[in-house]
Amino acid sequence: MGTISRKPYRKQNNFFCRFLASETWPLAAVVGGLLLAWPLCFPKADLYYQVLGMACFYGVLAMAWNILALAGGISLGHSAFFGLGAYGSGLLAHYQGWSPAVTIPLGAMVGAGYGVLWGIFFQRLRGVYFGLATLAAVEIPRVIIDNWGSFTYGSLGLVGIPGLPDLRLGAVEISLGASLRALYYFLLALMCLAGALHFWVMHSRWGWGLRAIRENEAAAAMLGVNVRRSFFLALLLSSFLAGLCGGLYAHLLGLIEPALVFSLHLSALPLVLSIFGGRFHFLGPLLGALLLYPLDQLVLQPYLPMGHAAIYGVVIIATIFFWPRGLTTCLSKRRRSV
Amino acid sequence: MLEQAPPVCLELHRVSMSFGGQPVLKDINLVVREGEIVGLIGPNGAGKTMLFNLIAGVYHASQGSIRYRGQETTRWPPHRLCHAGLARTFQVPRPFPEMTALENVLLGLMFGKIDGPAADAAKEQAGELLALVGLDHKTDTPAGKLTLSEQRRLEVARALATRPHLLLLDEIAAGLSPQAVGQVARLVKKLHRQGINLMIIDHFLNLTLKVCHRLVALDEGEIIMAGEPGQVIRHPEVVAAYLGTRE
Amino acid sequence: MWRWTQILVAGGALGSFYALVALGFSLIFGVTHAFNLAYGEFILLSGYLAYFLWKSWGLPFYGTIPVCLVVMPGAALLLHLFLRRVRSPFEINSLVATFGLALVLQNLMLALFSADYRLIQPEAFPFLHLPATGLTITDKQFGLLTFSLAATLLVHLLLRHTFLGKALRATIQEREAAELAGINVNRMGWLAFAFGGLLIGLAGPMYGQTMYIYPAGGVEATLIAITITIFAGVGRTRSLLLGGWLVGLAEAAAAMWLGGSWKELVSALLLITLLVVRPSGLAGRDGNHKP
Ligand SMILES: Nc1ncnc2c1ncn2[C@@H]1O[C@H](COP(=O)(O)OP(=O)(O)OP(=O)(O)O)[C@@H](O)[C@H]1O
Ligand SMILES: [Mg+2]
Repeated sequence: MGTISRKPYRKQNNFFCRFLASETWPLAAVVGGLLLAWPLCFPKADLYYQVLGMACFYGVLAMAWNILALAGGISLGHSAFFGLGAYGSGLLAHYQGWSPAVTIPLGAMVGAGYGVLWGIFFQRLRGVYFGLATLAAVEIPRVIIDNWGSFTYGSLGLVGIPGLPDLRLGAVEISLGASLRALYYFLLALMCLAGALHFWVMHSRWGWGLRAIRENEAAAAMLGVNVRRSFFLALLLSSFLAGLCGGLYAHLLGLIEPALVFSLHLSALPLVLSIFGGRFHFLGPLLGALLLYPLDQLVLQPYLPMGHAAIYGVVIIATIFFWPRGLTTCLSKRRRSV
Repeated sequence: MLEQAPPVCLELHRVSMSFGGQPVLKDINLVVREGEIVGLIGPNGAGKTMLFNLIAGVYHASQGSIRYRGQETTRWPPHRLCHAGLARTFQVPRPFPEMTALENVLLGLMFGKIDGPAADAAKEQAGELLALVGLDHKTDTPAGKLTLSEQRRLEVARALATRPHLLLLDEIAAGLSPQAVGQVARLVKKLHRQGINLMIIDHFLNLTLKVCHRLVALDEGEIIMAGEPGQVIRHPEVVAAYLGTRE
Repeated sequence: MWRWTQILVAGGALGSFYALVALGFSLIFGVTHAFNLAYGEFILLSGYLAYFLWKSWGLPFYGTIPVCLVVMPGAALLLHLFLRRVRSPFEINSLVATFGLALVLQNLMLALFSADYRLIQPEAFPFLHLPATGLTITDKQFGLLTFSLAATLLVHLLLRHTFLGKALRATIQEREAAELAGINVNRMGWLAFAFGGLLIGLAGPMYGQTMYIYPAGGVEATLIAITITIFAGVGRTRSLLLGGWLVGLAEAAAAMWLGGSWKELVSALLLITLLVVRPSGLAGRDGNHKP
């Protein structure tokens, strides 16, 4: 086309360079540095290890949720994947006695399997109707597991799930079961990995396509974005990660029951953390988790042992009312960053 | 002496479309040849946009077949047609509102062909396309904040970014001043010279008469007249259709 | 044979109650066009109110209803204030905001009332018993049936045969047109929420007497209300009643054959089926959406 130059395209897939080029890497570095370094100053702070470790854990869950939200799929039912991951992994460990290193990924695949079903049945649903369907979709695995007592122990729950095994890195042995500090670092590392994945998803070609689908599906399709495949893959990755979190959770806690892992709370949590933190930025869900979860656990929980989780409801309402694009968008000087 | 007719680019054979028993298009036969600019005219609700929707795969025809560059594309999804070199604009612009104008065009460049470039590699080219439609001063404005006519031009730039072989333009000249229509006409001719085939919907005939080689007049889902522009617009049935007195 | 009749009775009573639940939802939905995910929690609140009036104050069960009828419209009007503040994109934002509200209310109830399962008047008396057949209608079922049907009938008459009701319906169906016709749309909004509140007020005690109330129980009521509303459309009392019966019968059948705990699956499955079959939900039925 005469006026339009056709240069050979430079392949640029180096996400590390792109990360350094993005304006937010200082923030990411500061947060990461703090999380990495504070235990050096307060070596004996088990409560903080636990709470911040779990904050990292929920950060991963929030990012899992956000990968679907990138494509405009606001899910109200991610606890379905979480619960299936938890039960898949817990039951495998219980009946087969396999190591968590094997059962957790398998559990995640159970979650992803349910994600495939969503992809098939909900492919024509959008917006509110997608949300409603996902809300209802939690009930199916919950009621089945609740009633299938002979296999799943029903509403009594599954107890005695083995804890995480010790990691061996060369000569160093990291005891995840015994040391809360080791567990904290493990969860922190997990969060960093997930954060990198999240960054990659947001900035990849596929991520651009997902964003286009969110902003205008018909136009995206007309410009060559394979809407069905892109959305389906987002759902698959999202459900797999949520299932992974669920599987991990089962081994962290040692016991699970349907009302716990298929709860409205667990569906809401990633949504709240993500939207509060800002779902348009790769750090948003992380910041949401690192700010809100400790606030809930360290500040509110002591005063309100029952019902402290109301804070998440209050926060999401306030977010929707006052800064619907979330914290990171408010903070960043440019209006948008992704 | 016999001139060989240029090869067929797009062919619609007995295409019909209905919604819930309500016919919207009836038995449409239409051919667009290589190197042609075809205008599609007709009163409101004639089914012009629906015809574009069928060609572009947004909807699938209830009956009949559509062939594009020798391939049967009747039931293809839009993205596949796009990769095959078909692009369109929407009558009511559908920008990605939160992306900048540049990013809107970038998306077309990235996804328009299967092996499209990465975002960073295509920025320059996106800028050139924006300049082509006269939006180079709005590069970093979110598309949702552009005016309607700017959004229309953005639609054109975005469609061009997919490097189309056949471009469908839906009322891009609606509500423009005569000078602006002249500009659009120049752009259309330029694209045509670059080897792009065009179909243009034009409700008020201000653009089609300037650029089209052939007009197709549509009313109530039927083709009532097709042929040389001057003849078509003077044809009594077409006039009656526009005046609303056609039986 | 009599087993079927038993299902019919149980399902009919339950279904009429569900219609009542959906009626309030659909009135509120009609005005705001928000899928109010905290709706079930409001019914639970009303149920808890009745429970404590009955348990602690010793009010007879039917005595609790008037109190709920006074209190809940107030709560519903507060909800109106809340929903009016939601900004665009309204649909998805209101969904998320009411989801948050549901979370707040659930935790509030957990803090105030603990996670215990509670039931008003646990023992049910046979109201009608046919020993030869084994068919029994309990007094609870009878109460449920009469109250629900009476309320539904009243709302139906109100909507169809009073000027106010017609204005309300017009507002729900064609907001702009109603405004042009000189209807004070704003006032109609308040009115719809007031009526919705009355219906919630009635539904709460009935709920507490029929099913266990516990803080996390609201989701199911919400799902049922949404299912029936999407099935029936907004403000159509007869279709709502039909939808309620279908859900009630399906649940009664599931409870009879599979056991009571499978019943919770019914509304979820029905809602998903409904959405899969009609992906545009309520929007699709008017055919008013263009590509
Ligand atoms: N999704 C749809 N469902 C049902 N009917 C539709 C749909 N889309 C379009 N129609 C109907 O098809 C007919 C043709 O519409 P179309 O938009 O193609 O008209 P048009 O010729 O482009 O008119 P205009 O000049 O107003 O753009 C109209 O009667 C319209 O109501
Ligand atoms: Mg049109």
